[in-house]
Amino acid sequence: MLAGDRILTANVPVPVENLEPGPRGYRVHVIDYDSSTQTMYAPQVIAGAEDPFAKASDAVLLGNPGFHAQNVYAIVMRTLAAFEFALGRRVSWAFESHQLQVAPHAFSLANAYYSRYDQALFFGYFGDDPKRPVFTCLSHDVVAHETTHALLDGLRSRYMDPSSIDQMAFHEGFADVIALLSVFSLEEVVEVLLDPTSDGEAKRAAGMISLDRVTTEALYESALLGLGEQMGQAIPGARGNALRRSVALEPRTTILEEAEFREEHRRGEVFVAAMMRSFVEVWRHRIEQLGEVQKGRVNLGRVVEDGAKAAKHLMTMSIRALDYCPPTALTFSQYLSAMLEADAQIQPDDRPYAYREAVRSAFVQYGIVPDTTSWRIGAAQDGRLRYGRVHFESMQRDEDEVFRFIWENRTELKLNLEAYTKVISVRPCIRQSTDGFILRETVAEYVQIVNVTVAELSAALGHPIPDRRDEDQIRLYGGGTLIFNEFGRLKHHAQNPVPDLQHNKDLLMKLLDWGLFDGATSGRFSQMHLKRAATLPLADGMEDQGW
Amino acid sequence: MVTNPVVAVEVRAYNVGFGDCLLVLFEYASGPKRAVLIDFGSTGRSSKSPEKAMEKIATEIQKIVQEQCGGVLHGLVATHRHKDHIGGFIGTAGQIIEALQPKVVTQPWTEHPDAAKDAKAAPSEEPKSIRAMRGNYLRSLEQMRGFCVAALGQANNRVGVVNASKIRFLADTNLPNKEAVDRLQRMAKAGKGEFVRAGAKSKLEGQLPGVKVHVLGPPDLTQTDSILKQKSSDKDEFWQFLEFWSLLQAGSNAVPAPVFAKAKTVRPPRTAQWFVNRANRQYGNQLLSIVRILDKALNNTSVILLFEVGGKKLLFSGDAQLENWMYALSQPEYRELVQGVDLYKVGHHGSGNATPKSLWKLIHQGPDGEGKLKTVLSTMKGKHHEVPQPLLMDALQAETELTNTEGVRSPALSAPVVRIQI
Repeated sequence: MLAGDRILTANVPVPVENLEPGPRGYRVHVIDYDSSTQTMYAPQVIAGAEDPFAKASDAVLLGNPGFHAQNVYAIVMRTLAAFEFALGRRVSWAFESHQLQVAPHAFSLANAYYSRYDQALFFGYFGDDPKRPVFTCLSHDVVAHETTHALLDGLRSRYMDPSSIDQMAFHEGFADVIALLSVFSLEEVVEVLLDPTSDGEAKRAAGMISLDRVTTEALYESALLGLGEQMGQAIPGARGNALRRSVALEPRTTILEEAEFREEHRRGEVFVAAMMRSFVEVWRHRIEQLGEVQKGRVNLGRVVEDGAKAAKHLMTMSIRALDYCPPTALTFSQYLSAMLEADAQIQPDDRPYAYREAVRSAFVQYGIVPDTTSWRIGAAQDGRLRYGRVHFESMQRDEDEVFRFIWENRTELKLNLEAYTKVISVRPCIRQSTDGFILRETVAEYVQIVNVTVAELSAALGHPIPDRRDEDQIRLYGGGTLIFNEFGRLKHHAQNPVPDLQHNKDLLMKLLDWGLFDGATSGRFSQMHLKRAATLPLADGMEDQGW
Repeated sequence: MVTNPVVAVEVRAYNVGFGDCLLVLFEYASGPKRAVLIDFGSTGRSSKSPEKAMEKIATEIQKIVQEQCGGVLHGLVATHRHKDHIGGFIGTAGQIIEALQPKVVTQPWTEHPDAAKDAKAAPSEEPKSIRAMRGNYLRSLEQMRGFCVAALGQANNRVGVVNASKIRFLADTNLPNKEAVDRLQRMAKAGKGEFVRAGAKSKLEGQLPGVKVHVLGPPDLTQTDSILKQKSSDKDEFWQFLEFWSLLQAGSNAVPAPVFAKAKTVRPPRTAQWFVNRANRQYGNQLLSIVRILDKALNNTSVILLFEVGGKKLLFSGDAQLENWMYALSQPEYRELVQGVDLYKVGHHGSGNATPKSLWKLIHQGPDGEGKLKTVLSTMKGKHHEVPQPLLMDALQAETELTNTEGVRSPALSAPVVRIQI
């Protein structure tokens, strides 16, 4: 992104640590190896708190691989810190290692992606001028996007399973949302988008902006569409276009029913559009509270600051919502409910900026309404739950102990007793509430999996299952998220049961219709981005024509 | 009233390894037969001398043409540019076929020599005219081939043994095949060359009295665009596809140089060695994925021909995959045409999406009580990652009278013959 004719830079704080060359820290190891040329660039040494590139020219920023290594390290750590701040605990990667490996110049190809199997983020470079390639590792939003995939995978490892159409779209949509809000949380960016002629702090301090440039429509035009345009220019091809498309999606309540938006990428764009409209709405609320400095004009610095704050707050809300989501078969409606519930827990009063109201109304405009299922544990249900045979202390960290709790209460928790059941995580967390007190919660996830044969499914539905042999196994997924309060009592149970062959035929038919029994998720991200850029789309009705 | 009607059509499917070579003979009530050769390519043969094998097949074709067709090859169809379809047009084998002086040479519109000139023009940022659209598309195809050269240069065991072998197979098939392409252009110039798109009137009809020749594919870009418009409100998707390939080609060289020429480099430290191994394989995965995508793109330039003669229909679709079929299957008159065909040359060696389900439903609704659909398949297991597709094979074996070249002993004389009596 450019400020005038210079590369726009911003300073970002990251958690303090003593780094080995790479940089190689406690969560991230940057390895600057280029597979296209089999070149290993010398690991970047960062000593002290001073940024060695603070005053570097654009030529140095573009031409020094050490800066690129530092840049990816900083953005990955910043994104990780945002997640840990929102969740009030450490966030683990989805693989058996503490350090995510990051290759800033992985190959000379137009792609960037997260791979769980390789415990890594890969950033390619490309371009039509070999002397000035486009480096995906220099794009804040691309790095934040891929890091979010890795973090989300660490938090909800089953979200890569094909268990609902919204879930397939969610990974990409959520990564886009966090990337965009992460960019907007940089005041330097917001300032340039609002006032591209601005040339620095001094002008900003004295600057004003007229009220007609900070209406909802004007903000949408200058900030969101402006950013989409900038990104399209910086990273040509699929990514820029996707972002431009997301923010330009006109709201309509039937959009998710349209055939075009049943495809996972396009569906993810609807989610992004709803979130970004929420952002603009909240920002506008904040601006409304600013007094006019002169008639019809407000302070530009405050508008910028409020934009960044709104983005940061919404990002925190978005991340925190994950804890309140079921671990499988997520729907957009459920995510919306989880977001509203999680925020209400920590900030019961939505005033003065009405974040929850902005989010709710923006989602509703795209036909996404809060899920009607209540996941709160009421007093009556609380009374029926058995706690006598489990231990409070162990319940905060021990998967076997939580499994025992679930097993003791299997009827009350409506477990599918034919399913394989496993507790996949138990995470204690501490969050600070707006009343100044500490909110302690323990979040535990369990999954349930039932294997059925194609013949069984086909017989239950009275419908043939295309492309599969009778004896093939199909996995049906379900599961729940349990949130225990500071006294170890269950307060929230977000559950999506395993679809039942007899009672959930409509749902199973939908899964069949959406092709979600096809399996194969490995290499999903590397293929997703590539496929999107390099293949022609299929016409309606042609998606399901293969053998 | 046809005075000398076609009484039978014979299709000879040669075992060329992985590839297509089909000689279609139209037998008339009197006089010599008329011959159309559809594709003449091979790859993946285990034979020590694949060129010799193709020479033998060329000699066999020459003999048939001389003995049964009055020495005239009436038509030559090169469905698309892949090596397994045109790779035989080199060396002695190519000379033998060229010496038969085919009367009509049919190729897809993407092979038009004038189109190739356009292809060199730099794509404008936002093409308005169809000409620019075509130019950009063809340029993209050229860039894809250029990428193949680069991928072949990178396909060593470092990127994974299996990856390297698959990349080599696919990239080799997609390489620009200058000698074969030049020979085809020469034959097209000397004879009656045509570069067809869906709906074109083929000059083959003039060579085959009593036979209607329908061209069902490939669609040109106006036809593709009109189909996609029905789906998407966003036209960027199409241009994004073109842009991707131009960016990719520009960034890929057969022997790429480090992007930071002056930066200090080191041997991978011990802490990075596990990752370096993984990264190399990931790179191989990426190359393979891209080569697969471009393999498919070139397949989709395949000519699809339907011969209609005496109430019988024979369908030859080259390697056309779903994106090519999308146009034909959207047109009611083509849907009607393919309904209940009598012979189907199985598309793309039996891959999963070259016989779209909706096409399958139409073609195997054979006439009542007149027996099964005859199918001809030229394939070779284990060569291409996605062919033949087992479920399609099951259906072909169960529901059609399948002739498969795989397992047929070479050389050519034992080519199976499928006969359609008119």
